[in-house]
Amino acid sequence: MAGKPKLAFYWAASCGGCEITITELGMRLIDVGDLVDIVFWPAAMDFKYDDVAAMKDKEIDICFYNGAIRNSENEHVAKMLRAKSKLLVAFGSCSHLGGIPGLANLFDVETMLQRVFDTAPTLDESRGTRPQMKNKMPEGEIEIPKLYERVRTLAQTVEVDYFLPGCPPVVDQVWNVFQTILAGKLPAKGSVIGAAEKTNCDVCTRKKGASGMRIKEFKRPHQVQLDPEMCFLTQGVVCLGPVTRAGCGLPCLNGNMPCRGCYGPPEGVVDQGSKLVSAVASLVDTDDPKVLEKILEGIVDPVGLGYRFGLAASILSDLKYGKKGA
Amino acid sequence: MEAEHPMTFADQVRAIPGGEHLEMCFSCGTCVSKCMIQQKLEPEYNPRRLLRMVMMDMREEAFKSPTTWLCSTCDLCYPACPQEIHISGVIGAVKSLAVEAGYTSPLETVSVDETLCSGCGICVMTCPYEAPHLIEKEVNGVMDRFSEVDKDKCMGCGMCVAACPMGAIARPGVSNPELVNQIKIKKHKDAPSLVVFICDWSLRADDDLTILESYPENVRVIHIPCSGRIDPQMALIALRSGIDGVLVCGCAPGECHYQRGTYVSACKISLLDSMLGQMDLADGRVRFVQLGTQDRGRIRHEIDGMLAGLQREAA
Amino acid sequence: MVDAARHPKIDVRTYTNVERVEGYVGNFKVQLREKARLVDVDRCNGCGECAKVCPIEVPNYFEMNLAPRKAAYVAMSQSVPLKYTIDEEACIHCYKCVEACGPLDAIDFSQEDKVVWEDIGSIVVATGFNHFDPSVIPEYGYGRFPNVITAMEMERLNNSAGPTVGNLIRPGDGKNPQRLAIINCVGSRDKRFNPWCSNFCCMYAIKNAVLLKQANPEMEISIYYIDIRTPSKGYEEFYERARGMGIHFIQGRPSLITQDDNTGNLFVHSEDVALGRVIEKEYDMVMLNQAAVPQPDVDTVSSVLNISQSPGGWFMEYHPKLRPVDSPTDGIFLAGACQGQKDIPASVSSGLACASRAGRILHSEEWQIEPIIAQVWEDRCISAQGKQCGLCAKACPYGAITVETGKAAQVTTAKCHGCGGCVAECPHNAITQMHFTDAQILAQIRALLAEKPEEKIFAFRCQWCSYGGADLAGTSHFDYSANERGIRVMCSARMDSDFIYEAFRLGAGAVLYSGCHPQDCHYITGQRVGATRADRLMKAFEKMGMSPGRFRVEWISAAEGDKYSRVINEMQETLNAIGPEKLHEENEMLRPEMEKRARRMYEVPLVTEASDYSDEMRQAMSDMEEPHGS
Repeated sequence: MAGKPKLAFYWAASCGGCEITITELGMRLIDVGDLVDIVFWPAAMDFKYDDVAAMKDKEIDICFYNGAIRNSENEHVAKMLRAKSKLLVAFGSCSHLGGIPGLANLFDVETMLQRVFDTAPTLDESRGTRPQMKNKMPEGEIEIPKLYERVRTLAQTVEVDYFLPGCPPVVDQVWNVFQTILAGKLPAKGSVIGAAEKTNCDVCTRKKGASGMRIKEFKRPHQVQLDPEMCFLTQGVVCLGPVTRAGCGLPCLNGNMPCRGCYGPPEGVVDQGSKLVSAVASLVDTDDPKVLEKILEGIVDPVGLGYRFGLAASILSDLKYGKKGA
Repeated sequence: MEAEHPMTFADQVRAIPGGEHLEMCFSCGTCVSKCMIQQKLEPEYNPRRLLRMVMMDMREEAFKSPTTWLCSTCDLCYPACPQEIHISGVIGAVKSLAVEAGYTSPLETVSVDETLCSGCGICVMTCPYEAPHLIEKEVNGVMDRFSEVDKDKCMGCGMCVAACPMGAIARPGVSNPELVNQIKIKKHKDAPSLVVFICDWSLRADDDLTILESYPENVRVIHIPCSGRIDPQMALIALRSGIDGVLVCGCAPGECHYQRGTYVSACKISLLDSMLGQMDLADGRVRFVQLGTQDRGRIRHEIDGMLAGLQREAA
Repeated sequence: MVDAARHPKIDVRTYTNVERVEGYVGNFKVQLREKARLVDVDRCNGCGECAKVCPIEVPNYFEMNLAPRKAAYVAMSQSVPLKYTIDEEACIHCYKCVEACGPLDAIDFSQEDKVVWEDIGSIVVATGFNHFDPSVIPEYGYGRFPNVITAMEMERLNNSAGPTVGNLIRPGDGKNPQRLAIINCVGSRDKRFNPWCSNFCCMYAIKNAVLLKQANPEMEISIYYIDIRTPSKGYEEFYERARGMGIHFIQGRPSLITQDDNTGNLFVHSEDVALGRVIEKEYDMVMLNQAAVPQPDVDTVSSVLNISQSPGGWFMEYHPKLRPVDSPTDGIFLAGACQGQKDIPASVSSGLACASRAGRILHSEEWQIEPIIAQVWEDRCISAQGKQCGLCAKACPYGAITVETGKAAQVTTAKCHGCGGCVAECPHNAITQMHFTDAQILAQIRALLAEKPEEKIFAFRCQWCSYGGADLAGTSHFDYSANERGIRVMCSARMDSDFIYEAFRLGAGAVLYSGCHPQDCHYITGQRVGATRADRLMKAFEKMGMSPGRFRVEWISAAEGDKYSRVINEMQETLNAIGPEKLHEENEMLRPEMEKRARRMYEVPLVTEASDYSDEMRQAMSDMEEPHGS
């Protein structure tokens, strides 16, 4: 690498938490600044797309792209940054798996627009007003980006070199990844970095279920006094720990809340939600079909539970949009 | 101190919970014909004879008998027995004595890949036979937790194989890659394609197996030891590969060969179905049916019905 | 039957219910409800014109609902008397029958039920049995698979007077079956339903198989059985003949029947026990040989007639071997299968036996009973003083006591069987039992506890069971503690609380309260009266602080000699464990309470003399011992 490596950060369909993670590097950020050149980081500094477009191909050494691909702008920038970057890293759950924005795949765009602009309760008199796709401005006509029917992950849009999971990725893991990259010790392309291979259960120290401990009723965390010593599944609370890659350091579990699955499926698992169903359904305890139905009513929103962060990457989304392509 | 008469084999079996009713058997044969193991697996399987062996003090023969090892405690025979003998209890008593005497199970059992196992304990909780348990041991200087399977307890149903989130458990013949490899169908232009995952125990009559074999290539039949082996991920993979429908067949409630597999699969498919529903995809492309021992010929109706439904959907 | 109907001294009342029975042997008063058949029996000549014109058809119960009958009907063509009945529930009142009857004018829609009382000397119960409904065994598919039929349905389908005129067809499609499976023990020898062997089904299966095979030698018939039971004369030979005819006998109880929906054919899944292999055989038709079960209304009948039931609901005989057709109530007899599953020869025998037993009563001017009857001291009975009581009547299993406030309780001597329950229950000691008076029993207690009472285990035994049990323990040489001292009363109902108090007051180490198992009680419900009292005593003693095990209640049959000896030995161990000192202390502590509770007994005439007598007897005994000792 001639001179300091060039870094880029971009923020597509996401909440911005991933950007905050970078700032949470704190004093270490100064070290980063000494070691690299940040050439593009719209959230922190003033850059224009044109600046990027003006770069040569592969001019950026590493690009950290967070956020899902929701609209034409996200896609445009993703393709541009892909072209300009040697390494493209999907940074955080949204670019890795679609994240929370990926849940939009439950609905079609029109239904959502209706909800947001027409039916949602509001004090504003603007109800029913939709944004215009094209607007005349003093600078000339501008066009707002087009919403896509399907929210996609970064990898479903362009080729991705590495995935750094988490909503947001844990600061220490990000720091490790920076050091790994700078040291040039990267694993095979396409790998998940900044996380382990096994699941959260591997590192979770809660007492695990014994033979015959099964679920007679599903409860949501707010419905039950949770025992901080026991595995959540033994308490009838669905925890995504068994189907989620370790690496986060278990902040949720340490706060006595079940894992929600932001680190995505572990190595070898294709579809996080259906794997969760396979595991959790195996624990249901009844021999009465009616009771079974009642038990399953306890899982109010199976997609939201199993694919909270992974719907865009899931086979379900592939099936739904498969025929139409995107 | 020492008993004047040493305990007979029958005394020992009687002393174990489940073994008490041994002598009530009048050899009517109901249990033998209610059970499907003799028909499907092992011609020498015969609970009635095992009871006789115990009563006649034929210890070694009983320990070696396939009946001792193959009974999956489905308890289909128990409610049918006119003498109300808890036959699986007696067999269980013989089995525990056999294990004590150093005999081991001849069954194909599951094994755990420790490089994958996260020690989550889901297999421990789901197993109907208390075969897996968690152990701690040192790997590269670090204590780690793994699941370990007691081979003498495992009946090979594969419920844990499906439940394991890491795919760390395998059973020869029905491991994840082996099943996924079978999900391949030559598409016909006009006929919809269907994958049938069928529990080997849910079809009682040989006629029904003949029916299954009679379907052309667009219907792919995959035999699994228990419908509890079905993994929703596998159904989704099948659908994504372009297959139109997935039919899972298990035993009727109360008739599951592995006690709880059919409830587990009902639960899995029900959840999968509601997820498909949330995505506006529930159009009958994944179905679970529970075939009872008296549902002779029903498999044909189920497959034909599903194919017709898929045909309509495609049109 | 026709002969019976014609006999001048036999009065056949059909379509009539027995509603109440009062009185006693030789002097019953019976209330009958002659149900309105809407036909004048005296005018009807059985021509059947009414049925011909009747437009209503309902399932014919006699034909196992395989054929219809009209709303104007006789059960079957051989009905006696051959008088038509109009089924009012089905009738639409079109009155076509009235027209058809014409000048006979036998049909009378204004008829109502008639209630009459009759004087009856003796009653024979011959209410028969019912058949088990196999639809509750789901694995046989009866009710779902049309070609699975019951034995009774086969009986009608193969009967030349039946709905198919003897042409055996499958109900499913009307085809003649060529392959038939007969399954035995459907609901019998099955603890889930009826534990008993239904006695006649093996022969019945063979009979049907032989008949069918004779009519159609090509037919393939298999009989599935657990055991073939042919214990009577000529039966085994008949079974041999059936085997010789080529009828298949398969040892193995089928566990499942499945049906091919296209052909309606049935597959019987069973083990062939001789082979040790599961076999699945295809048949055109399956006949289920269902169990014999008691009639559905046995409870009503037994309460009307005051006769008890054996487990399962069959009417209970007085003694299974020696008085098999007598009910526990004198003058009421049990004929045929209402007493237990019987085949035709056995039913006929029991019917003839009943006739002879009943004849004895009808021809006697007097009737002898056991002299151990209860008697009321009228001046002590508080009912005579105008107070509400009636505890004696409540305790009596035979309804032999009538209590009317203002009058002393009255014992109908002929009904009294001498259990003594009333005597023990009367709180005022106003009843006594001949030969088992309080004074007599007390004298026995005192004599037996005269020396070292705290070492003694005092046993109250009932005549019919625990006394027999003790006897058997003795004759079988089962060892039990020599400290046991027992007396005999007729029934545990006679074991008065006062006796137990008195035994403990005298310092008895332990008391055994024993009688029959509830279902074996010789006096219908006597054991229940005794058991309730024993429960009460047990609680009272517990409250008083008596060591557990000193008062023991056990139900021991005459066949349980081993149990009797075990119980006594266990009681001895309890006494050993408590130890003489503690026992003595406890007795001193309990004595005032026992004395208080037993005090009322001393008001009973002759009881004081009885205690004096015991001293005399003690003297006599010691006098007798001396010459032997020297």
